Amino acid sequence: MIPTTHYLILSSILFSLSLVGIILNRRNIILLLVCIELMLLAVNTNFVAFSHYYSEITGQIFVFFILTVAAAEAAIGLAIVMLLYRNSGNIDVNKMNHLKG
Amino acid sequence: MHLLQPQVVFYIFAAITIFSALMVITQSNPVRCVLFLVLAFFASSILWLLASAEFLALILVLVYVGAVMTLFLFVVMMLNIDIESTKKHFLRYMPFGLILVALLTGILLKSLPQGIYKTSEALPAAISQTENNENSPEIVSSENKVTLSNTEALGMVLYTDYVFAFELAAVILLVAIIAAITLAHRQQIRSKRQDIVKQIMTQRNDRVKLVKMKSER
Repeated sequence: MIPTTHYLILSSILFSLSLVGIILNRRNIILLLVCIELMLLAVNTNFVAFSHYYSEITGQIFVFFILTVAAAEAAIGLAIVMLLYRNSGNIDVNKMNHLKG
Repeated sequence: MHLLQPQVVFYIFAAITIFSALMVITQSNPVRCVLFLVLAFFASSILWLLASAEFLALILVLVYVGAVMTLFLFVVMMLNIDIESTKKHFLRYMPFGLILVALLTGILLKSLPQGIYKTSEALPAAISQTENNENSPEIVSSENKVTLSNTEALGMVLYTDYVFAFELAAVILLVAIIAAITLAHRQQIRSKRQDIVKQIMTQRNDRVKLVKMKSER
């Protein structure tokens, strides 16, 4: 049917787009989280394509767990963003210098 | 015509996915950015359907778009972010970003081994053939794979081989719930909860006040 290589090309394009998105939008922490979600989508597409190719269900199990961990990560990350906004009034990454790192 | 149809669907939705990913990283408005991410998730769930991962495609739409992206949208709409500062920064780095996309995609595509995955129909049959020959427990599963639906097959593996990992995932979700509530919960001002320290440390003067006054009559 559809060659596995095309799935791999698609997911590599998605991954590099989201990596560049992280580099470009590194001022806004919400867009960073969105780009991480896009990156996980690319990885999951890879897993699903290989699972289809080898007709092995284990790849889909991995996608299941990646989705679980990504949901937990999104919830905690957004809670941290809310807390940051409530305490400092903005979510600019450049102004996060309380630790003087 | 019948064989051509899934490929046409694949290319259309792959194009939609890449387009919406591009819009996600170029939009300056975070609400539009999250909405394009939702479009990318929908398009790639169609792609997963084509790769016969039906359960995960539905999970992606129901759980991911329905819950996680809604959470994102709520948070984005609650915070007001100034768009101007991000836009100026973005235009300066745009050519650099495009070069980096081309470079990264080129490297990733170059690292794919040429011609290994071409025979996508011949190889799964060959694998199941060898499995049939090698060990007997695999015979049952590979024969059942034809009749089992995707959800059933996933459940058969998830609740037997990966049951410990499944429980760990449940614990991770519990920790995430507790952490998110603890971080974002704000102490209510009009709460009726009793404060033990305040009750013990209270003095007589705080509660009782004697007022001298003339007797009326």
